[in-house]
Amino acid sequence: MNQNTVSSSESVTKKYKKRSQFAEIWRRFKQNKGAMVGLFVVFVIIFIAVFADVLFDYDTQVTAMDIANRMKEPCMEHLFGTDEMGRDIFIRVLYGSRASLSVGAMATLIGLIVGMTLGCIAGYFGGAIEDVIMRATDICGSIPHILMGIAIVSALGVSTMNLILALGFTSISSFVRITRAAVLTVRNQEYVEAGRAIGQSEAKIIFSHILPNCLSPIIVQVTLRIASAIVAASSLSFLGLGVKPPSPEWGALLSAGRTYVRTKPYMTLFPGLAIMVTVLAFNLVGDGLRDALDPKLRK
Amino acid sequence: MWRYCLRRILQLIPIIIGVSFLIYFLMDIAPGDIVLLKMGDNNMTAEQIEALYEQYGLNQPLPVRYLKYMGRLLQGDLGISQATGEPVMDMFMARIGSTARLAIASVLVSIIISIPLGIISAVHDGTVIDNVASFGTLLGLSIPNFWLGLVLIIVFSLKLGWLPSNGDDGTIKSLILPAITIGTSLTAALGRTTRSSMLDVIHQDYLRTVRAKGASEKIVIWKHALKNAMIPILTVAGEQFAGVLGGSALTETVFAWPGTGRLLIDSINGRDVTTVTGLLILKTLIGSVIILIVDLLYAAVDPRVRARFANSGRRKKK
Amino acid sequence: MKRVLALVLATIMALSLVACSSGAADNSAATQADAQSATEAAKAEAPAATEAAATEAAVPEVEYKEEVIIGTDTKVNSLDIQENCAIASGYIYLMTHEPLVHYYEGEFFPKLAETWENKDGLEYTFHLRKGIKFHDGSEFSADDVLFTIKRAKENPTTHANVKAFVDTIESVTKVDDYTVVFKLTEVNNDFLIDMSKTGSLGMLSEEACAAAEDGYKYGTGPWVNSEFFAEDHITVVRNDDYWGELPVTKKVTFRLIPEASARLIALENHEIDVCIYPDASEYSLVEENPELDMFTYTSGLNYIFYNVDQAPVDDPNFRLALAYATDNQQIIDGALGGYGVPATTTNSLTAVSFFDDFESVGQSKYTRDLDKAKEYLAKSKYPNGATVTIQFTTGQREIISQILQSQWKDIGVTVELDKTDSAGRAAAKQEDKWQAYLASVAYTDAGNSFSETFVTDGGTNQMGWSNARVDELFKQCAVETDEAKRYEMYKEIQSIIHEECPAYPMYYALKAIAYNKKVSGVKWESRGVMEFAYAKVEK
Repeated sequence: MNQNTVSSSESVTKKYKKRSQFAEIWRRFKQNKGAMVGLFVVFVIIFIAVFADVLFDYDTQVTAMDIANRMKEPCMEHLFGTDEMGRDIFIRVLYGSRASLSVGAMATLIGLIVGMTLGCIAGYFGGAIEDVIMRATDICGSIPHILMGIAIVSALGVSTMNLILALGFTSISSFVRITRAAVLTVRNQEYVEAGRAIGQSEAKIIFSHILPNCLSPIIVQVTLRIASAIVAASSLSFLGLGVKPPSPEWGALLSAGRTYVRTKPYMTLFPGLAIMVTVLAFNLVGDGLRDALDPKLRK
Repeated sequence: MWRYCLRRILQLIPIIIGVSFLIYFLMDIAPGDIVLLKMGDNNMTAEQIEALYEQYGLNQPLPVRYLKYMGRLLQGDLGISQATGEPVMDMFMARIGSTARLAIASVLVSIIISIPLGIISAVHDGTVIDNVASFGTLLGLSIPNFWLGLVLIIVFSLKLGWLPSNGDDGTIKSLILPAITIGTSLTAALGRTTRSSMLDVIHQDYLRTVRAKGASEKIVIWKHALKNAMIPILTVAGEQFAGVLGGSALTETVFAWPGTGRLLIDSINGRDVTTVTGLLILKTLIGSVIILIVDLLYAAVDPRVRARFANSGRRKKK
Repeated sequence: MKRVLALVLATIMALSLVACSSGAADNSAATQADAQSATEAAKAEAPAATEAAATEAAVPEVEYKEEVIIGTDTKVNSLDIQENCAIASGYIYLMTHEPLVHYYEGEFFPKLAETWENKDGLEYTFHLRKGIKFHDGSEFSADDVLFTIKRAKENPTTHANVKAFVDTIESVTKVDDYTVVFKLTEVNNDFLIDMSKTGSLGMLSEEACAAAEDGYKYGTGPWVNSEFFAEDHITVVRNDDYWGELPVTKKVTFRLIPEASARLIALENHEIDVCIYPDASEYSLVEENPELDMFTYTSGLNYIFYNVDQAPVDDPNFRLALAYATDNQQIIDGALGGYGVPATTTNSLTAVSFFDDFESVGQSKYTRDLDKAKEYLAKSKYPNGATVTIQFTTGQREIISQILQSQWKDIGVTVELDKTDSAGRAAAKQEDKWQAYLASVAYTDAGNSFSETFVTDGGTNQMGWSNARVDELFKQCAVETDEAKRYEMYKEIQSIIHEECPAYPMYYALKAIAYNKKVSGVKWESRGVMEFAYAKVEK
């Protein structure tokens, strides 16, 4: 069924096809209210993350301690209250969007680049290369992700970079599988054959014919992965394997506040909500995209 | 069919070799080792340290140790924990019961929440109800597990006093909170699958026939449609079960649950290479076997799938 | 029907009696909890708690539960009593194993030795109790004492503190089956205290250890090791053949509940009877709960250890600059919620050798004084500041590191944080790749155990620091019997350490053990070495 849509739009010229496909997807995406809300929230969070350093000064507002004002309940001056070192939680949560999003995005980027490359090679070339790649993928995929993450961070040492590496590594296998499956569906299409017939290089065929046509499941996967990486980062923070302090990454805030979960619940509430809203938004966008990209689900 | 099973089981061999090597390697590059940990603050002589390394078999290079380990593994021996001196298999068996019960309960929670929501969402496809139901299945996924666990403990154990806050006393009561904590994080995938597979089925011709025969919409959906949409749902549930069996370490920590996940985390922290490798091999094995069983059940239910098993060279999981 | 009613009435009356008696205990505990001076609280509380236990025991017809459950935070890795000196493992060892002599709040009591005598401080003769059996059935005799000391000396995994002590024993000789003579290499004023430590010198059975690799788990105590499930629970059951007073309770379980909040909730929810170390931020919840009580005491000294071989902390002036840039009270407020006592010197707060009047010897106390800090910094090899990496392992120390980061920034010292786990720390120490490390050391005896931190190659000397004069003084202290002269020497030691600052003393944490008021019989101890052997819980 997937193949049908691809081949039907094929006779049309490439540029036009792309635009119309995009417009069609966007039209379907727009119908999904949840996804639209999600998209809006994602944009807001990205906006905050990008301009966080314009809004607040890292040294004086985000990380500087003020013991005299520690553990202040939420009030006008400190909207979300202050933490055990007297730092404003509102500012830290806003600034934390930068740390959290970059952890999620960087980890996903690693998974995407490595996974897509391997998946492409496996799907396109097949044979022994495919076998090797897919077995390796099975190996990495069969170890529960969170345990793999724990093992990697324990081995490499606690740092933000190693956290990103660990989360990235664990997401490779899913990108390999998805890319390969998508490549398999398009690799024997006529336009690929045509490219081969006119003597285009393999790289050119892969980049200009195959990849553009299997991007949709990959894009969906990217949005979902960013979300799950943010949650996974908070899990590793709980085990003491998260980002380095005093970075206000949400998982670290949530984990640091957990001893006060009964006496000062606001210390975990706001970072927790931030994670929740972000992860929900990314998931709504991902689900919306999936539906929009997969015409099978629409009447 | 038997050939298919055999092939799937044979495929496990390279996976296990790979998993064990990966873990062995990771644990080797991790800073510190069991001897340094045992040493603690002691100022030992070089000979004493040497003797300890020999006692734990750590004085040899990584490839030699790994090959020795694999040699034992081939004979079905998972080795002895370096930290406690107990056979890894015994330690695993002592804890797998708790973990398995938690996994079953968690998947049940996930099924109870996500199948109705997924169906509602499919039936009301594209409406506000669909959005709300989908949103409902996503909620659990987006709350970090340990936080949800702590909040549940505070509300249901402390404030209401209904349920125990920690540990496994073998009763269903002690299962509820940890199962909800894990189960709600699984609803997103299961709800999504339910929704899409129901959508697939709902508009098919035979349902139209059933409707034409005058069956109520309820019966159409819950009896006829759900039955046919069940296969992918069960597949995902099976995979989730395998997943929880392998990786519920965090929830086990929050609820002080005596399962394999906590043992694994402790073993990683204690640089107990034999236990970590052994546990992960067992988890991989069990996970793969469960997925195989689900696939076989699938084949038993669906003749189309059975036919594919009989003649396909390799089956891809999607 | 009438009978039922009578029964109910009787029960209510019994209960109200119990309530009255525990109410009295409540009052005393509440005032202690309020007391700001932690040491005094700790000192005052121990007898109060035992008194309360006595009055409760006097109430007639009280029924006790079969099992006492204690929620702990620390994993006990091994039941080998010579391998571990942690307080958490001590709880269990104290129940299963027994030393020759027993020490409690400054006094000695006979245990496996009925009497003992001491000749010139170098020779101790112990007369052993007869007819005592180990849990495996073997009989306790002089051979087992010889074996225990020999094993501690030879086993490579023996804990450093135990090792350091047994190395001061020149020989142990058996006079007859029930008499042993210890000869010491030098006079050790703390010999009997060291001998009383169950964690190190509970008696092991030679026969059991020869028969099984884990023979060390058999002791002579009132409790027998039953289940060992390190990351979940450890259970001991009553030794019905015990030679002394039999406990009322039949089973004691130590449950590991790693999350502090979850552990306290378990106590409030009646799932456990004792909660070891609730988080300081939740002490108020214990105080507000009428069912609960709390025993508080000051525990180990929390240090910043410096690796004196590594730049930039190799320079004493630089270390002093850091010392004068640090504000202990801020650390206590920020990381401990105020539940701590600022440390002024490198010794245990309760030790007789404690000295912190540095002005009297022409020094000044460590207080945050940025001018002074900058002065020292200018004198140091790194007048323009430097980067120091602080290594730590726990969440609380993560906060401390951040506070230090913020404090030291004021004199131009940048702090890098290095969070690791205990294995990572062990590796860093072995490879000598670290600069500063946060850790606490518990000095559980009154005398010279802080020497282990500062003598060359001492058990807890993480810094690699070595000072010939300090080594010499510690040696003299151990043999000097004149209290005043000893104190002078301890004074000099602490003053030298103060001047060199190889380890900076931050604070003594105020630890607490929360428990249900129905619990009695626990021997609370101001050093934190509680004895749960006779713990019982009213039904």
